[in-house]
Amino acid sequence: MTFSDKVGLRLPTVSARVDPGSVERFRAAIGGTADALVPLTYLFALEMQAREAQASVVDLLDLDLSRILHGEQDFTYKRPVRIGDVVSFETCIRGVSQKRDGELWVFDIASKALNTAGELLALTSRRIVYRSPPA
Amino acid sequence: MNPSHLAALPIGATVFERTFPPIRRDDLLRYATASGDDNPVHLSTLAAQAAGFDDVFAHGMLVMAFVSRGLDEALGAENILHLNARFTALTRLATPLTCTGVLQGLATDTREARVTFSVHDDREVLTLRGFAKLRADAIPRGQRD
Repeated sequence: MTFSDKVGLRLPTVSARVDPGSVERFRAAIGGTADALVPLTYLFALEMQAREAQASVVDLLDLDLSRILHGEQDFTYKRPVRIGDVVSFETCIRGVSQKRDGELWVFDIASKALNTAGELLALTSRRIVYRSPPA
Repeated sequence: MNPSHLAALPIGATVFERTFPPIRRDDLLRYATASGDDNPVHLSTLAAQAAGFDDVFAHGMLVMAFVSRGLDEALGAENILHLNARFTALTRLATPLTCTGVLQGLATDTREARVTFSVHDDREVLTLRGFAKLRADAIPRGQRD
C-alpha cells in the first residue's frame, strides 16, 4: 500500500454555516462559556461536519478510521468567525511521508477557511498518522 | 505602555495554569457528537482493543479545546493569532490534566508574544505540547485591574 502519489490531492471544497445549535453543542462539550466568537478549535469540527457524508480524507484514501491518530493541529487566525457565517474549506494533502517501511503513514493536510466574500478567515493544518493494517 | 502587558513580563513567566478535571466516557461521546469526530477508538472499548489499544482514550482535539479555552480565559481569544498542538501521547480517561503556559519570547518587529504550553497527566506523561502566538499587548487576566 502506498500513498506517496496523493501529495497535492485536492479535496472537494465544502462549505457549512456556523449554526448556533452546533456552536452551543460544541461549547457544552468543551466546557466553554458563551461568547460572540466561536471557540478557537471550532473550525476543525465545522470542516469535519461539512465533510461527514462526503469528501473526507478517510473516504478518499479508503482508510480504516480506527487506525488513524491525530498527530498535530495548527490554526492561524486571520478574521473572527461568528455565528451565522458561512465558511468554505479549500483543502489539500500537502505532504505524505512514511515511517518504518510503510507501517506508519503521515499525512499533512492543509485547509483554507474562507467566508462568502472569499476573505481568508483562518489557515488550518493537521498531521494525521495512519497505522497501516497488517498485510 | 501598560506595564502589565505580556510584553512587559519576563521571559519564562507563567502566563496561565489550569488543572482540567478527568475526562469521562460520556465526555467523549458528547465531544464526538458535537465535533463530528466519531472515530470508534474514542467511544468503544472493543473498537479500541481491536485497533491495538488498551481502552478508549480522549480525542486530542478535546484536550486542545481545553487548552484553548484556558488561553482564552487567561489572555482573550481575540489576542490569539496562532495556535499549535502536538499530541505526544494518548490521553487516558480518569486522570486530571495539568496545563502550564509559559512566555517564551517576544518578536519586537511583529509585536507578537510566543507562549508555549504543555499538558501532563497524573503519571507525569506529556500528552500535549504546543505554542500560541499572541498580540504582545494582551493583558493576562491575573494582571488586570
